[in-house]
Amino acid sequence: MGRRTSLRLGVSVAAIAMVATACSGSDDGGSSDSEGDSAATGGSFTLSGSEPEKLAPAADCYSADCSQILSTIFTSLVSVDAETQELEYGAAESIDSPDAKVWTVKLRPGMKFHNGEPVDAESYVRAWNYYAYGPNTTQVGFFLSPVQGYDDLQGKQPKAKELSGVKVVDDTTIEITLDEAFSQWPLIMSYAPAFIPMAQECFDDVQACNEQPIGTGPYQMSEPWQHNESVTMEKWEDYEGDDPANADSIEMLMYADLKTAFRDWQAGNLDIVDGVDPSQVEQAQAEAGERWLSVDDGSYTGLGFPTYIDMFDDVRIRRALSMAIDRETIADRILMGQSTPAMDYIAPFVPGSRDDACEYCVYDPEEAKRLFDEAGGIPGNTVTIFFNNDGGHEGWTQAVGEGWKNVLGLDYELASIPFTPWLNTLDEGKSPGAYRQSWIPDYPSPENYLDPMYGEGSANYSRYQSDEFLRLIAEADAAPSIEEGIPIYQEAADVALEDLQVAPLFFGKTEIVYSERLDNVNYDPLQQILLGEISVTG
Amino acid sequence: MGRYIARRLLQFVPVLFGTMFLLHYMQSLSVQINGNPVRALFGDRQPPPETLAAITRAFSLDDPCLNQTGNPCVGLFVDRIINYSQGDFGIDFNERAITALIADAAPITIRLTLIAVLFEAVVGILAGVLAGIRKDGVTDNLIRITTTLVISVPVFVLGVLVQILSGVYIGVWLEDNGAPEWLSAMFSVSYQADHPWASLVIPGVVLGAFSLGFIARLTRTSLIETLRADYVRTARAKGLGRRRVVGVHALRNSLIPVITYIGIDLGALMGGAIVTEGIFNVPGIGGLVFGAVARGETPIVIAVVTLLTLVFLLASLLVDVLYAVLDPRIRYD
Repeated sequence: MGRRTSLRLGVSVAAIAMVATACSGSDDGGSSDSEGDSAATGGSFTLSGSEPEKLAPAADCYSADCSQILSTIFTSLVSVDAETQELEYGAAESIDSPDAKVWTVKLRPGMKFHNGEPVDAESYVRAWNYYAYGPNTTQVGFFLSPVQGYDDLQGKQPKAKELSGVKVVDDTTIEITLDEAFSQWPLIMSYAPAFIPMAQECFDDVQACNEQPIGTGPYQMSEPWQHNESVTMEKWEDYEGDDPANADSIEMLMYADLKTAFRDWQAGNLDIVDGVDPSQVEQAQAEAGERWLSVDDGSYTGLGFPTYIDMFDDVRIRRALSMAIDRETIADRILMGQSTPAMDYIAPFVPGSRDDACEYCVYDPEEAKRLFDEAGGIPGNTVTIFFNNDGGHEGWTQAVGEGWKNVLGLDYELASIPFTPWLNTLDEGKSPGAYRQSWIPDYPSPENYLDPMYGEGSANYSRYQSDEFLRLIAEADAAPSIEEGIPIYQEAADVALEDLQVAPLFFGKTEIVYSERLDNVNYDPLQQILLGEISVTG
Repeated sequence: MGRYIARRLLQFVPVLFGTMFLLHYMQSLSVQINGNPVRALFGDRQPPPETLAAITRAFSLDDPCLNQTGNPCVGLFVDRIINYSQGDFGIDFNERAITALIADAAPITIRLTLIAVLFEAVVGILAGVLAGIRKDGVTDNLIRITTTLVISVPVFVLGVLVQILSGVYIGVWLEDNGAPEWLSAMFSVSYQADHPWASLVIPGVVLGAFSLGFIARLTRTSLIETLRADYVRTARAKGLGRRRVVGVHALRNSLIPVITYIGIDLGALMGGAIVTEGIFNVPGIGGLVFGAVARGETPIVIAVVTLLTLVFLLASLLVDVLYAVLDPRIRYD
């Protein structure tokens, strides 16, 4: 499906804790303090991956695979701590702003690229200008669009080559001016691929750098990328930062089909399977025992009721349809526990998520029927569910339809087409009925789960319009700090949940198994598997 | 013979052009009907229009004819032919040259195909001869049953079964008992770049299994027929040994349909290894095409299929030339 990276706010979850807590709440809290472990160092291990699209320019990376590699060979400016949900600085010492509009980034002094160049303000600004420059056609350069002057870099013949809102103050200080105040800006900067620096050597020959990137992290690529086969990362002895690096070398093996990766794991040829195929989950669970992680990955699925379809005009109909869906049963029986019922628009790990925000997401057949009848039902008594037919969505859509049939006496039709035309149909606002709304977060802020889908953003396929919602989002954006924005985002979520133009359904999970040679395997939704923390014991 | 080959080579040109045009037309139709494939790269998030426009332009998908359903986009086709003739096969969505992708994948698929063809030809013909000379005997029945089985089990079932058996069980057992590395590599679950031949043996066997059944049955039937022919009876009457009658006189003629089959199979194996390559994680041509189809990267599909057409044509030419060698009655002048 989409190649978007699964960025998820960091909850590093200990394996044992996860096995014990099969049910999930807002605090899937395992704790694993890597500092506490006297972790063994040395050794090497392998993990599964799929061929990444690009390693340089980093802003062409929009998938979990390249993001896994980039977050291992680079130290990102900032990340978010799992338990405290506070910012943890990496390559930056601080990111501050008096007004959420002009931000000052102080860099940690003394850090170097793998080729010896200094990691200075210039190396960041050089990279950001490259990422944002339209003719370079990077995929995630638009994450820089809040920065002043971004628009001047777009089009066939852009007016400017450099972002006017980014200034080098001195070697370790960068000043960023946004078009409008945005309290969540430091969280956006935790999205590594759009913000990591570029060495001058890399800038001069991006092609060569794509084959063998020049990073800043505790691991370096010691040999060029073996396309479709492997990427090898080795410990870099001159590293100055704080990121851990226990194993000496890590090899990512590329698999076209993760079912094969799992069999390689069974045969002892592979140490970590990142993303066990649904058909093998039961078997993996039985064989892996405690060497098994089932982690929330932040992905979201909802059911949208487009405003341009008359039968969904009445809010009572939308609520009735939502309350007639038995999310728990579908998550357990059909999605085999690989999803959890959603009770909020905001995924469980993101600060500000609640497990009871959505009043109309509770399964209540009587109330659903009452509301449905009160609203006078719908003309034709048939609802269509529209989804893409190449992502394994047949099961749960049918279950939703059967639920409507049983509870409301409503007929349903499934309409599915391939991914590309499906997206284009949604873009054009031509869905034939209720549709699958999905989202993979880009950065760990409630804003990322709200504005794009229900505001003026890029995934508002239901065409939801609420002045109250937009006003609250704007107010939260303009809040003086990340924390002060959160309660206002929650209010905005409440407004949208009340109108229920999109009914939340599920949050997704990723399944990981690893070999008995490894210890301290943790998953951080922002950086994927924390490869540097893993120690090889066998 | 020389003139014959020249004439055949000339016939390649319209076939190649025709194939390329059909592919090109199907690609255009697919974009016209399904919409811009670049959009799907961004998944559930609509990219900003300027980003979408810039990337679409970079992949030459911005031609207005791609918005008119049914338009054959002749201009784009001419561009493509010109680029191909200059050795430029375009780039994929990751901006890698398609020639580089093919150069990476082709040697692996060629190795895989060689192993498969060798396996199916040697074992298949041997089994066919054994069955054919003792028609309705125990061996014949046994071979007929096994080949039917092999033909009727779909490759994705056979592949996974063999993979689990050889990779997980035998492989682990071998490793535990200190087998040499090349032997463990032979019984590995997936392709290993360090053992480019050994780790392709099992996938090659799986790939060749279907054709093996076919070749065995073809050889058997053909041999039984030839053994009844007058010239074979004459040979026997002359008092020639059984080995010579079957091996030289009968088999040589019986092999003509088998050779035809193997020739065509060569092309089919090159392109049809999609499932086998997928199961054993072999980064070959099949995997390349499969991924390209899934992502809607038609430039790869068109380039690879054009090359495969060429392979098919060359293989069938080779087969026709071989006829003359096998059967002296066939002449091409």
